[in-house]
Amino acid sequence: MRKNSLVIIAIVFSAVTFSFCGLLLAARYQLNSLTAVPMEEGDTQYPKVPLGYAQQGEEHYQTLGCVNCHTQVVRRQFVGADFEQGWAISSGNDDIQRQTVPRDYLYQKHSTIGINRIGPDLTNIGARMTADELHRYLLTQHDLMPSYQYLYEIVPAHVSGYHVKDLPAALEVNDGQKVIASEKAIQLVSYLSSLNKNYPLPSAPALIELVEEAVENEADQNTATVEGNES
Amino acid sequence: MTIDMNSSHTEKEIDGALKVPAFFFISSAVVWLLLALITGTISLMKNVQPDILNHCEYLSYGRVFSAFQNIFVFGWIGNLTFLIIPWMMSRLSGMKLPSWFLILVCGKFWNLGVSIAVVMSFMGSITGLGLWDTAPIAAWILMGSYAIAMTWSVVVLILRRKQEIFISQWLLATAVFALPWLISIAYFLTSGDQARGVLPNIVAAWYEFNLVWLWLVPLALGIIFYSIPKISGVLLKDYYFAEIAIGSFIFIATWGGTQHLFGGPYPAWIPTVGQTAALSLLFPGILISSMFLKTFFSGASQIMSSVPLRFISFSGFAVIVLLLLTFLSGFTSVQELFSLTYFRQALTWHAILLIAGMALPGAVYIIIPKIYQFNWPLPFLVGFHFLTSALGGVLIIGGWLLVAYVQGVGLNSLDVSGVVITPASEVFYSASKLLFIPIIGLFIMGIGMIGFAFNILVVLGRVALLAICAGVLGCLSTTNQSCSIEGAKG
Repeated sequence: MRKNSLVIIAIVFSAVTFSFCGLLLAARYQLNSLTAVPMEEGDTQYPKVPLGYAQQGEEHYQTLGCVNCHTQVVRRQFVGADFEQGWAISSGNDDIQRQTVPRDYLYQKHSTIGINRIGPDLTNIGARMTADELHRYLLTQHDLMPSYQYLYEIVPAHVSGYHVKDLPAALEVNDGQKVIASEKAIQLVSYLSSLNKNYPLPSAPALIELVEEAVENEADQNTATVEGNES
Repeated sequence: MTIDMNSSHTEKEIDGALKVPAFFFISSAVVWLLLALITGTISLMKNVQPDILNHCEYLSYGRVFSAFQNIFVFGWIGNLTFLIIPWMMSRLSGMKLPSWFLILVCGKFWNLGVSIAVVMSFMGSITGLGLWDTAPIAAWILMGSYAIAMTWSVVVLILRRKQEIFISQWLLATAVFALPWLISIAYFLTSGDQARGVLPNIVAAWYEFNLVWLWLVPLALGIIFYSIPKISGVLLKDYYFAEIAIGSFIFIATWGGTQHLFGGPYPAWIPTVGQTAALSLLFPGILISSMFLKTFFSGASQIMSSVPLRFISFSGFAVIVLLLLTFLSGFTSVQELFSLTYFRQALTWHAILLIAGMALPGAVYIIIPKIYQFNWPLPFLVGFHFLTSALGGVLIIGGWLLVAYVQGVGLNSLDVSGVVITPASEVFYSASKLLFIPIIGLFIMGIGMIGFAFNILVVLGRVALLAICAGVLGCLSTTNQSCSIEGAKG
């Protein structure tokens, strides 16, 4: 009868070990083999390693809890409506709208994918808003998003710093004063501005290519049908 | 220290062996509970009024909610498990705990770990990965202290005086082994160079699901299948299904969690494995549900006449609801709509609030009077606690599920020409209006919890006073004896 207690221990231990190896270790092995790649030989490799202010801004994105309310993931087409919401649109190359793939997150120090969309997806926020617009957005409260006024300060006009212009009426300051962004705010906005998936990857060709391929396939099928009917 | 193997210890001996650690754990749990109410209120208020307490980054929503999670799960529920698991394992094994010193020391380290986790949350050490939001150093302390403390429970199981192993012992053993293992795996795979890309999200989803299904749910089921027959006299039905139900449940549940990653940037097989596990949980789920429902309805009036058993029975029904919701989460059509919404959070907190959050206080209401030989000073507060916890919990989880529905349907509905029907901004606005429902739920739940805290503190106050008086009287009688002896000598 003493053995039965060891049987329980063995069952629990083997169950968790089995799933650890089969699910987690296998996922780790598959994902950690990914590297940056070019679309064609000789092209620039993507994704690029974030540097400078963008890298520091990613830290602030994490510590300020932005990931609790925003996601950075564009699900593949026909799963949800991420494409239709416009979250797949990048800038620089208007033809590139695509889902995000594991390789896109290769050089992220923290996980920014998120688990809950209390606010809009930020995968391509750098394509939708300029740095100035982002600063103004952080200064004001919108729906469920709080303001981040503690990242900014009101200073006399002669003080140097990143001057946030065209403030909403509620935030207007007196003559002789201006609102400047702290270094943390500048770094955060630099990071947000860098969020722009304007490059295709082999595992995520631009949507325009998928559409062209689908149209070609449909045309081929129609041609085959017509030829079949004629014969 | 010798262990007598001849016969079972009496219930009084078993209860007496836990008097000192019980005092520490229940008082710690109450303190953490009150802190959880404060941080939970602040974080849920920020869902509705984001600029509340927004003058500094230390009180941003992400940090406060992370602190709330750590306090409620590891502070409140964790401290209760340090009391309940050794007590139940001892009672079922017929063997008292050989020594309370180790468990008490580990409990202090556990509370240190929780404190560090909370402080680190406020300092910004947050992950945004659901329940895996504990700072690394705190995670190590929690894992180590829990593993060492529960060693005695395993010893008691192995050296038990009773031949049979009961289903509750299976379930408690699962809970004992699961937590340290889960924390160590999650830490190992989300730290260092390998923690890059999407792997932390996969690990966090697996960890959260397994924390629910291998720690919280087995704990609650262990309490249910022990307390109902013990207190009401109603025998467990379909007991012959127990081993296959629990065994299959453990094997299947360990593969779940990743169904919530459907459609995301992950290899397709990963969400598919999670979906398969979620759907397969139906088999052990039916067996476990059958055991509980047949048992409950064979003696419902006897069971419901005991207020602690109302807590525990409610937890049983909540397990069945969670099984159904988890089964639904395995469907692709459900994940297409509800991934990246409040759905995942609602399922996780359903287990925390309505399963463990009801079963563990119910067990406390049974255990504390037995250990300290006291009745509750204000018995009506016990029933009040049950009603408020049940209603409040249902409002919180129901509110989040409603918001998830609004998010999922609103963000993903297209008209015939493939254009979104509702712009995202309007969906977020509509969802925000519904987030007052969980706040009301927390307020209602909080009132009952304050009543619980009052009852506990009065009991512990009496225990402390008695202990002090006993100590003083002991000193006095020793002094008198010394005087008498000296007088006799003189």
